[in-house]
Amino acid sequence: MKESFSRRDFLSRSACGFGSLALSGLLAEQAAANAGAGDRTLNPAHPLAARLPHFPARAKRVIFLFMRGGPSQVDTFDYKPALQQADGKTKQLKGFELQQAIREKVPNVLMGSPFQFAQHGKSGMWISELFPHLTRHADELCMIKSMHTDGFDHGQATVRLHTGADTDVRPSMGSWLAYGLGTENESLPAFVTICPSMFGGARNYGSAFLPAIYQGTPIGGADALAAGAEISNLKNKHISSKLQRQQLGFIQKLNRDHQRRAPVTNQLEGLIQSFELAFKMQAEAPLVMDIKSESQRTLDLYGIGNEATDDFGRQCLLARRFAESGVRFIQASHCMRKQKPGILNWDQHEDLEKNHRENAMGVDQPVAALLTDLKERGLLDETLVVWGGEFGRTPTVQPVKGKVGTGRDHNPHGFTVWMAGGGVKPGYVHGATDELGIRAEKDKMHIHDLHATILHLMGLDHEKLTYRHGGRDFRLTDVAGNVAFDVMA
Amino acid sequence: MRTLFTPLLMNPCLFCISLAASAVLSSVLSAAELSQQQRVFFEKKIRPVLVDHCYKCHSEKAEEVEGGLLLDTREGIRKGGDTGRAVVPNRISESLLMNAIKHGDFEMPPDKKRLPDEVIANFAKWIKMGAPDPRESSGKVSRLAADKEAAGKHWAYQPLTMSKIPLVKKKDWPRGDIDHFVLAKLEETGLAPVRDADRYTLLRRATYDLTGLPPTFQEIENFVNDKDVDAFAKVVDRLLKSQRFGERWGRHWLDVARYADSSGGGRDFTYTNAWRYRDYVIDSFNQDKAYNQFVREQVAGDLLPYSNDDQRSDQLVATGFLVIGPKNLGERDKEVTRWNVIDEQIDTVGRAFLGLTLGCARCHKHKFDPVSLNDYYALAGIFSSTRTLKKPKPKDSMSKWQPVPLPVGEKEAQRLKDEFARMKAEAGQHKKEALAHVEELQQQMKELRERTERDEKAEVLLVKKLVKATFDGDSASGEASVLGSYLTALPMALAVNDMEQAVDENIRIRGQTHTKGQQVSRGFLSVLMKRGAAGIPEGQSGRLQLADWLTDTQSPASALSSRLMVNRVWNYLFGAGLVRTADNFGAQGETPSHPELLDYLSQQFIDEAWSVKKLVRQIMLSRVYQLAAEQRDLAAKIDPDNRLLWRTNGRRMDVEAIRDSILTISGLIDHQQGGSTLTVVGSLGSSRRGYRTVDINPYNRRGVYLPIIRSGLSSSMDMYNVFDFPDSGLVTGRRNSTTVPTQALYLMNSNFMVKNARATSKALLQGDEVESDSGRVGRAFLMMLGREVTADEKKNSLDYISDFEKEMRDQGRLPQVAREQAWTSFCQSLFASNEFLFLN
Repeated sequence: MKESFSRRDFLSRSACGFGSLALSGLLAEQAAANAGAGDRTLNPAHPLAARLPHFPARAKRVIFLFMRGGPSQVDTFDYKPALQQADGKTKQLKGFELQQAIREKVPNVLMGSPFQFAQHGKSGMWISELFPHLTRHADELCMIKSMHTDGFDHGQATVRLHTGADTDVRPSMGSWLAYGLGTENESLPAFVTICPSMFGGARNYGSAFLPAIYQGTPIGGADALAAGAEISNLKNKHISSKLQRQQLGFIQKLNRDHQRRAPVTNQLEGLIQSFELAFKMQAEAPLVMDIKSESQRTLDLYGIGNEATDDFGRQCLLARRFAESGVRFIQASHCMRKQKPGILNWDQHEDLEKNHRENAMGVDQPVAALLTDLKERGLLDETLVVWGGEFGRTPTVQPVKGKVGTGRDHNPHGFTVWMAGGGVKPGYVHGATDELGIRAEKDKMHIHDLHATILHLMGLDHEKLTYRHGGRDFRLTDVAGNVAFDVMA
Repeated sequence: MRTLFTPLLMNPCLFCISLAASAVLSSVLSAAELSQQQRVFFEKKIRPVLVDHCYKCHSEKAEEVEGGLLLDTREGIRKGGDTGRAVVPNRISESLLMNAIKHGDFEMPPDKKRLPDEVIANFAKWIKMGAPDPRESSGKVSRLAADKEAAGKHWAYQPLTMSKIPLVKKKDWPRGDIDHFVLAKLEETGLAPVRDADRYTLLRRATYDLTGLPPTFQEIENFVNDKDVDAFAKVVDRLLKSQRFGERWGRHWLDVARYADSSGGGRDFTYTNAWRYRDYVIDSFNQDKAYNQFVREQVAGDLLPYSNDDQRSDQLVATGFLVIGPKNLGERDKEVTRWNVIDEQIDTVGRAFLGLTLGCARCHKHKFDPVSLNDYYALAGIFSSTRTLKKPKPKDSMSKWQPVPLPVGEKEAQRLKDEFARMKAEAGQHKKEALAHVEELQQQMKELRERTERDEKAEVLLVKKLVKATFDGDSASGEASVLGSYLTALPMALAVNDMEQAVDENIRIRGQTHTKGQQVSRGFLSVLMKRGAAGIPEGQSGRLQLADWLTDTQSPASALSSRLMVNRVWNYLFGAGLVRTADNFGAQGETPSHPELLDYLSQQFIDEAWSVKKLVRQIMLSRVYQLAAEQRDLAAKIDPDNRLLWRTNGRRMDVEAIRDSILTISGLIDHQQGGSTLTVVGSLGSSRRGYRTVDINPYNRRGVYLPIIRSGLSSSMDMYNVFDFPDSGLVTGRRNSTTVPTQALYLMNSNFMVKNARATSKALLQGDEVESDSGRVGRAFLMMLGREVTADEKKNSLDYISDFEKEMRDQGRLPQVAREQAWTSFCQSLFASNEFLFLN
C-alpha cells in the first residue's frame, strides 16, 4: 500500500512534537483563572511546550531517589556522639504519643548507632560506614539534617512527601513541575517514575486535577524488577513495524476524511497528531531505555550485573539517560524486597544493623555512580539530585513484645534528606536535630519547605505556581512552605 | 500599672450587667471617658504598633481586608474577624490578638520575627486595663456586612424565577419551550441554528447518551425506516426503559459521589461493601427515583421511615455516599482523622448537591462565596454528631469504618453463616499449602547455596520462584485473614448512623484540630437560610434537617439543588452545561448562558416531582438536541464555543463508553448486573505483602462495575488512566477530555484492543461463503460507526485489507492467518478512528 500521507508533512505541520495536543473542555475554569491567579497560562494546543520559569532557574531537572521505608538518620548521616554515649539509657520521647512503644507503655531505651561514622572530604561531612562509595562525593552533598513531616504512618508520609497532602488528593511534585515548566523533549513524557512506590500508589505520580498530560509515566511497578520495566503499551507485540506504519496510514486517512465531513471540534486535529507522536515515542523511548549501548565501564560503575546493586543500578542509569534526554522530573524508588523478599526496605523495626546494611549496599554504589556519571557528562550542575525517605527513625530502640528489640520506630519529627547538583551548596550542612537526633531543631525544614525549595531551584515561585480547580487556586505547598535560601549555591 | 485601672473596669461582669441590653462591648468606654493616662498609653504604645505592623492588611485602607479583621477602629478590634474577637477587654487569654502576636495558633505579623517582648507586654497591659481605645468607628465594619449581603445577591442563591416563554421570529422551528428560549437568544445575536442531524447520527448520539452503548443493526434499521412523526420519541422512550440507562447515568452520579472501592490514603483499604452503594445508584436511576428523595436518602437514609426490609436496606446503603470518600486511615491522631472525615463530608455535600466549595471555610472565611467559619462549623456539628468511623481504641493504628448490618430474614442469615464457615475453612487450607510451598523452596535454596560449586543462574531462578511463592503465600494468608477480619457472614453496608449524643462543634482556628475557637450551633449555610434557626431537635444530629433543607421546596437551598442537577443533565446531553463550570456555582464559576431557560427547567424539574427521566426526555425531544455537527463561519466567529447552541457539540466519548462499545461490538461483553467485583479485600499496600493490585482480567463487564481503586487502577484498566477517568478523590460533574499520545499507544498496541478487534473480525468472517468482503466492510462500518459506508471508503478499506494480507503472506504466514490478521487490523483501525471515538 502506498503511504497515503507524508509523515514529514504531519510533523512539520505540528512542529511541536509531543506537546502539541488539543485539550478541550477541561480548561474552562483555568481560562477564567488566567486573568488573575494561575500565572501559567496554558496554550491548549501546546500544554507541554517548554515554559519560562518565574526567575532564572538553577536546575533544569530533578532526579528524586526515593528511599522507601524511612532510612534512619542517626545511622546514616546525622552523627550523634551524645547518642552513642547514652546507649542503653531510658529516654521518654515527647511528641511520640502516637507511636507504638509509647502506646504499649514500654520505656524507651536509646540505642547508639551500630555503625562507625567518619568525616569525609574537605567539608568534613559525617557519613557512616554504610556508604563507602558515597564518601567520595562528600563535598558535593548538601545535607539537610532538619527535615520534619507529619504522620507516623508510611502511607501518609509517603503521599505527603510526593504530593504535600495525604487525605486530600493533590497533584504530585513532578506533575507540578511538568505543568510549571513543560518539557525539553517533545517525544518523551515530561515526568517518569521508575518502579514507583507502593504506598499511595498512583497518587505519588498522579496529576489529580491538573490535566492528565502532566501525570507521571510509570516504568515498571513497585515490586517488579527494573530489568524488565517498561512503559505499558509502548510496543506492539502483534504486528511488524512496517505493517503498523500501514495501519497508521489507514487510520489517519479515515480521520482526515472524517474531519473534512464533520469538523466538530479542534480536538480532532490534536487526535490526529497524537497518533504521529505516539508513533515517534514508540520509536524513541525504547532507545532511551535500552542500556545495552552503555560501555561495560559504565555498567560496572553502577554495579549492574552484581546481585546487590543491579536493580537500583539500572534505575539510576535509566535516570541519567532520561535526564540526558530532557525529561523534567525523574524518580527512582529503591525497593529492597525485590532482591530479598524478607527485608522491608528501609523500614527496620527489627534487625536494623543487618538490614540497613543490606539496603545501603543496594543503593550506595548506584547513587555514587549516578553523581560521578552526571558530573563527567557535565550534567550535574543543571540536575538537582534529591535523596531521602518519607521520614526518619527514632534514636530509641523499638520494643518487641515488651522487650528491648533490635530496630527503630518511625520518626516524622527529624530526619535527613540530601541534595546534590543543580544550584545547591556543595559540602554543606543545613539545619540540625537535637543532640540525640530526636527532632529537628535548628533551621527546621518541613516537607512543604523542601517542596518550596525544590521549586525555587527550578525557577518557580511556589506561591505563584497555582492551578484553579473547583473555585480555588491550589499550590504544591498548600498555604505553607518557606524557601531555604541557605542551601543555595 | 495598677494605678491605671479604673475602678469601674475592675469588675467587667458587673459592668456588663449594669448596661444590660445595650451591652455592646465596643461602647465599654467612649473616647470622651478615657483618662488622659489611658489615652497617652494607647497613643504611645499601642497605636504606632498597630499602624506599623497591622494596618496594611487589617484596616479600612487595606487593599484586601485579611480574615475580615479590622484593627483600625475600636469597633473592629473588639468585634474581631472570622476566627473570633481580637481584643476582649481585661481578658488576655480570650483576646486572639495576644495569641497572634505571641505566635500561638496565629503568627502575626506574618513572615516576620515576633514583636519585641516589651511590645507584647504593653499589649497585655493595655488589654488588662480594659483596652481603652479612643478611635471611633469608620463604618467599615458595616461595609464588610454589606459585602456579605452583596455576595448573597449572586445569581445561584436567588429563588427560581419563571420567565415568559420568549417569542421567536422563525415560528416553525421550535418543537417545544426549550427551543423558544434557545432560538430567541440566537435570533438576538443574528445567528440561526444549523440543520437537523441525519437519522443515523441522531440515533447513535441518543443511544450513547442514554445507555453508553452503540445502537444495534436492528435498531438502526427500525429508526431509519420509521415514518411516524413520533419515531424519535419512541427511541427515547425505549432507551429510557433499558436497564442500560441506569448503568450509564448511575456512572454519571458515581463521578459526582467520588465513588471508589477503596479508601485511598497510603495503605488503601478496600471498601468491601461499596458495591452496594454503586448498585443502589444504578437502580435509583433505572427506577427514576425522585431526585429529592435520592438526595435525602444519601444524606439521611438511616433516619428516614421505611415500610419493609428492602426499603430499609436501600436507605441504609444510600448513606454510603457519606462514607466512600478518600480517607487516610493510617493517621494516628484519631481526632485529626475524625476531622478529616467531617471535612471531606462537608466538602462533598457542598460540591455534590450545591456546587459550592464549602471546604475552604474550614480554615478561613470563604474568599469568594458567602460561606463563613460559622457556617462551616455549624455543618461540622452535624457530621460530628454522625458516626462514620468506629470509635478508635487507644491501641489502634489504623482507623476502621463502621459496617452496618442490613436486615435479612433469619433463614437467610443461617444460610449465609454456613456458607461463610465453609469459605473460611477452605482459605485456611490454601494458606497451609502456600506456606508449605515457600518452606520447601527455602529448603531448596539452602541446599543450592551450600554446594561447593555455586550455580548462580539456578539461584537467581530460584529467588524469582521464591519471591512469587512468598507473594502467593502472603496472598493466601491475606485471604484467610480477610475472611477473618474484613468479611462477615451477613451483608453489611458502608453506612452512617447518629451518635448517641449530638453535639455542637467549636470553630477550629485555622482548621487545626486541636485549637478550639468559639462554639457554633448546628445549622446550614446562612446565605441560603430563611431567618431563624435550623430547627434541629434536641438529641438529633441534624442530618435529616440538612436533607430537608437541601430539597424541601420551601427551603431557599432547593432552588440551587434543582439548578445544579438540571445543569448536570444538560451537560451530560450536550457535552457542556448551561453553566459550564458544572461543579462550581459559586462566584468563581461561570454564569449561565441561558439563565431563564435554566430556571424554567429547574422549576419544571421540581414540579414534575424531580423526575430525571422526564427531564431527560424533554431535553432530548427539543430540536436543539437534535442539531447536526456543522460548521458555520459566521457563527464560529461570533460564538466559537457554541454557548448559544447553534449546533451540536462534537464530543469524544468517555472511557466507559469507548470500552463498553468495543466489548459490545466484539460480542465479548458480559451484561451481568450488580455485585462485587473486587478480587482481593483488605489493605492493598502493606510492607509485608507489597502492593496488591485488584485485577479485572476475568471481567468483560461494563465499566461501571469495574473496581475503582484509589491508589491505582489495575494495569488491565490502563484505558481508564489514559482516557481521563476522573480522580475518585474529587467530585466530578464534568470530566476532562484530553488528547495525549498514550491514548494512541493504547489504541494501537494494547492487548484489549487487539483481543476485541480479533473477536470482531472473527464475527465478520463467519459464514465466509455467503457474504462478500465488500458486504463485510459495509457491515463493519454500520456496526462500529453506526452509518452506511461510502463507495470511496469501501474501496480504501478493501485495498488496505488486501495489501495487509499480502504483506502477511510475504512474511510467510498461512493464508488463513494472514486473512484473519488483516481483518483484525482493519477492525482495530475503525475502533481507533476519530469517528468511532467521537459523537457527532
